[in-house]
Amino acid sequence: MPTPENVTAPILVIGPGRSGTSWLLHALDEHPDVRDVIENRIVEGLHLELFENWWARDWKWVCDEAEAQRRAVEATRRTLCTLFPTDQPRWVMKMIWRGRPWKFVRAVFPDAHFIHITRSPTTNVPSMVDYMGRHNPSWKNVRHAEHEWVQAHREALALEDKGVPYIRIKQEDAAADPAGVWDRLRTFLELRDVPVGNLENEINAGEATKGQVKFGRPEKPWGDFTRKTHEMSVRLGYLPESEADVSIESAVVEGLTSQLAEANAERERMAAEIERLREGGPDVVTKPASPSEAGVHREP
Amino acid sequence: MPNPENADRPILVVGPGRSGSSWLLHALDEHPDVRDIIENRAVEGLWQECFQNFWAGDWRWVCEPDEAERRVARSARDLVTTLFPTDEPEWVMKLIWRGRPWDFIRLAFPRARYIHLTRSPATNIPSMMEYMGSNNPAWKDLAHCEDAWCGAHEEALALEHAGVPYVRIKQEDAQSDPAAVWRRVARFLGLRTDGVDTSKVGNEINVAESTKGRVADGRAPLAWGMMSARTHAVARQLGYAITDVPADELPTEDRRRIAQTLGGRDLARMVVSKAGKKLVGGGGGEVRRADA
Repeated sequence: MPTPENVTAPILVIGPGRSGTSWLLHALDEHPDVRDVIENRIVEGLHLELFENWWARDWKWVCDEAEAQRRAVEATRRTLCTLFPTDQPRWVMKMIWRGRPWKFVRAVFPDAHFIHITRSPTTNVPSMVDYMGRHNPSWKNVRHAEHEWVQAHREALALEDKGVPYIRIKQEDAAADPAGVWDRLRTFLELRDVPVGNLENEINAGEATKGQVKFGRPEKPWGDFTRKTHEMSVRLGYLPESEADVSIESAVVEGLTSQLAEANAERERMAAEIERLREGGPDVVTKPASPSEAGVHREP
Repeated sequence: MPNPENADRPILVVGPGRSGSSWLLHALDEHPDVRDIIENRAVEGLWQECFQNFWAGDWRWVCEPDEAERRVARSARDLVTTLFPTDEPEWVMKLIWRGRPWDFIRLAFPRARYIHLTRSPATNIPSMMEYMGSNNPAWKDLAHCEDAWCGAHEEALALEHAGVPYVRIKQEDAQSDPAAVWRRVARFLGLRTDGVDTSKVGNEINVAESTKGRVADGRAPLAWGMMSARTHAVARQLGYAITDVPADELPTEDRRRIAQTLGGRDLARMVVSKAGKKLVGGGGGEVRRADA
């Protein structure tokens, strides 16, 4: 947790949720030099309050824009130190999902290290739908979850493009080889090499995968995702570029084939019905929906 | 403005807006020992963030609830001293309108002094409708303004009942004799008055378009009969006499319909003037004067 000495240098975990971020925080918290701060929105909350609320325009009566920014940065740091004080030299905090005021975040934490955690959308998106959807129906919509996934990664990759201290970790690697991933992280963060336990623990697993995280979650087919998700998956190394378009085309072809099959079945059913009518079969109307329809019968 | 020594003892101006709060801040800011802070929501914003957002349930992983409150209260003081630092011994801030987390504010500012500004709803509410309604249509609705007016006063009166250092000031008094009101405020706050220039306390501050340059004459009042029983009750508590149409003379439905039918300008034109002419509800949304 932050102190006046280390408040500018947090370890920030970024990317979409349901991708192993709780495991990562738990693992880092196991290190004697690191403490985790609970997931919170203090930085964004203050930014929103100080610069987006209706009264923000009145800063002009107080000081110039640069000075207002400097005070807001200082106030945010002091708030974090007061709310979550401790003595550990390093601290880690989640800044997952999207919509963070990154410019302000970088001003508050100029010495931050960013860990971008990724997970294939084929399992990450179903995990969002499963876990987040329990409390918020909008997350049951796959397109919503996909959109969140893409946006969170876009923002995280934009940070990488800015040249900040950044590392990308695959959740799949952490599930398969937690010790290997831990070594990578430790090196990136320049943490001293001390034994860290409980790396294999499951943390915050979805209901459907409890006790079997290392075996993975059944994958959603690539064909179910949008082009934007495919493009992001290519960038994150989950889908070869050559397969991205093919997958989409396959999905389109598959969808059209399925619609065609349904249309053919309907045509055959209607043809059979017409045939029965022509032949004057007894059950022209098999389930009358109303008394008048019930009275319909074939004239002799 | 606040510094670490006086951060916990602001002068807080409470009650609904459009009741002379800008005038009061301006007058206080003219005093050499006082600085005003721009109207802001930083303290509530922090409180809301820490105790109302989705993650607030996770404080249990950090510390006990009492300790969490103490930390956030300390942060609130840090926040105002960092954002608005200065050396004056006194600082004043508006905490007007309603819906403030008062228990938290009292925790964050345990030595605060409260100035409760009041103004008759008969003129305060039309001022809200005109001034606030010019930017936000919700404020053109009479029922909305009445609710805001009552809610703000009910919260301010609850502070008085809680026994905090409190003074109530009528905007009407400030309007007719600003120097006398200024002396009352200074006495309540223990501010020195010798050698302090009070020549500007009569200035008009933040006046609505229709009353610019004529604040001292007052605004044409809204008929009491247009207002709800709740507004009447709060007004009586604040010492305002209900002088014209009793509330029950107009059916509630008519009052609501009239309020919804009339826009701000029409309402100002149609409501009864100071002479106390009466309004009665007519059929089909029409409004007639009783003496027409």
